[in-house]
Amino acid sequence: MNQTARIISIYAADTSGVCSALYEYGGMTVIHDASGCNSTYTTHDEPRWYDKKSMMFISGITEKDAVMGNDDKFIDDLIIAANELKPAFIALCASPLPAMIGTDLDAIAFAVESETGIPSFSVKTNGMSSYISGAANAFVEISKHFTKENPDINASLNMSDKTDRLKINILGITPLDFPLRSSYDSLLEFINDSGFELNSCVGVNTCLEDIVNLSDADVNLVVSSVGVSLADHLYDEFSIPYVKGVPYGKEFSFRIGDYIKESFSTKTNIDSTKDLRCEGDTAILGESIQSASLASALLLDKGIKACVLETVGEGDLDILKPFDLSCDDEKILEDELRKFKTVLGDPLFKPIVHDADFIPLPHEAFSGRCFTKSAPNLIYTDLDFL
Amino acid sequence: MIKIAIYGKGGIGKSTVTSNLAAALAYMGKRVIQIGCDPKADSTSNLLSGNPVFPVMNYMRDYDKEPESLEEISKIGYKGILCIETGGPTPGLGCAGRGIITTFSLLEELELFEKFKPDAVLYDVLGDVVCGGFAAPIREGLASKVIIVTSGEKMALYAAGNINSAVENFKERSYAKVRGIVLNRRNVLNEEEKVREFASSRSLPIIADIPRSDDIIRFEDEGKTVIEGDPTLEVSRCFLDLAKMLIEEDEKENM
Repeated sequence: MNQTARIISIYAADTSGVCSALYEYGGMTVIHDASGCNSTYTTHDEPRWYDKKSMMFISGITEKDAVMGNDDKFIDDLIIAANELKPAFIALCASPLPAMIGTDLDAIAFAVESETGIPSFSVKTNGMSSYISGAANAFVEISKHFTKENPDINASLNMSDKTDRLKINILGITPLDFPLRSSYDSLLEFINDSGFELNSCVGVNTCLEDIVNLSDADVNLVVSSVGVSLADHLYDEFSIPYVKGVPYGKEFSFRIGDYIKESFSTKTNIDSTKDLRCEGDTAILGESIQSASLASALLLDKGIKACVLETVGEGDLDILKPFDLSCDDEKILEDELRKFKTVLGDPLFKPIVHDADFIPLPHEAFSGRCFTKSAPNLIYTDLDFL
Repeated sequence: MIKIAIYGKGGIGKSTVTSNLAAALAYMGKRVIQIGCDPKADSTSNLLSGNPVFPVMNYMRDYDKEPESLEEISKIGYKGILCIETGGPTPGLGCAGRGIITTFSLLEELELFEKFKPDAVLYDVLGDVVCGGFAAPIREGLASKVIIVTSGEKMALYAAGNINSAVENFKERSYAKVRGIVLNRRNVLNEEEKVREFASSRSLPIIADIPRSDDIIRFEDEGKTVIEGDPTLEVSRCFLDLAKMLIEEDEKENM
């Protein structure tokens, strides 16, 4: 049987990605859904749910609503809730049911904004894609609505002219990829130690002002596929270049620091793993940018050659090398894994790893909160977990 | 850009009006796209000398995948008009309305407008606004104006009234607005009076009056529009006048 996950888990859905991305910005996020998407999100995909308030809702669409096209009911509910809660914005996304009947969420957002005056937008989802596309689209939409114009942006400025510290946005960090508070702290430490300054961290430990001020940054650091669309958007709109890569380990972190300076000077986007990959008998499973970064860091810090097996089936595939593989099919993946001596991945992949040594690297988007406590923080630190 | 969706009762002559308007716009030098939004997939046949384009949904059904290029699901017709048909699911199965939405999403992904850079896009939509899918062409970003085709026949006017009401209901959604009526004459008794009364009671202008013409049928038998067949005919002039009006209107709006 192809295209199935009989043994292993599946990744968090795009609707969870939207909620995760917008969690801290004071908006009201509504999944147009009968029920279920929200409970999956809150119980499995959102570690902040019990510590930090947010306005995540479902619409409670019924079969009759779907068949009769009762969009007005949804619009009325949105207006009542918005007038009561006064959110900073309203974001709408679709579960499979409205996606299948082609509900026009853009039009519903337009109608709600016209009535309430609250910025409203839809985020493209269908409830069947992965968290990557949902979160990525959500970040782009919120930026389109709130990031300020930056008339001071000076494209000709380069490193030698720059007198103050480079301002860095961190893009692509959500608890689905980085559930640990220590990951954020380590990223901050890396930025400070490298002589940079954090401008905005998009996704966690953040507020709407960070989105407004995104255009003030000199360079964007993209730490997962979730951040690539926003990075492209900020490059197109504000000429802010970006560097792709997670500062795992020490040597690779220093490389990323150098690439950030180069990116600023040359105004080009840089894949920090571009010259650092070699085919080997170690496999790293997971999201592509994190996995390629870890492979680069292992090569630099430990001399370990590793291939990436991108297992989400979505995201930044440009970072992959010819010897890497993008594969979200359980059977193919199981066969591919027989080629490796060591496999690093979420513990829920272990049942299809038969002969290799397995090193667990929990991934919240794949196994929820099951293994978060045992997840190592590899950012800007010695890679002695092996 | 001229972006028009053409609605009307089934069999009233929407495809005839749409393809003749497309041909008239192209005759006047415009780059035109015509998208047939009907499972019958026969909207553009008179622009293609009777050699039909492979409909988008048929492609997806037959190949069990989405097309990767515009060339696979479009054909160039009379004077460079890009012809596309949404097609539909297996008759009696599936959901034709959702198929239209799927087609539009796909055309967006294939960057149809960015690549072809049209001056005019015409959507020829099946019969009535029966469900969300058939309202898809008037969503924001697609058609900005609706033209309703009707004759003086009772059921054609009834359908036209329903379409007008449906579009009115969408006014809070930033959808297209009804631009006017095209009277496609069937030579029924008191036809002009009936249509004028219908239009004035809804404050809609009659923007074209197409006479009943054997020339339309004659050229359709040859797989042509009357514009292609003989642009000097009286009936051809009606379409050319409508095209001229829409071009001037568009130019004024974009000044």
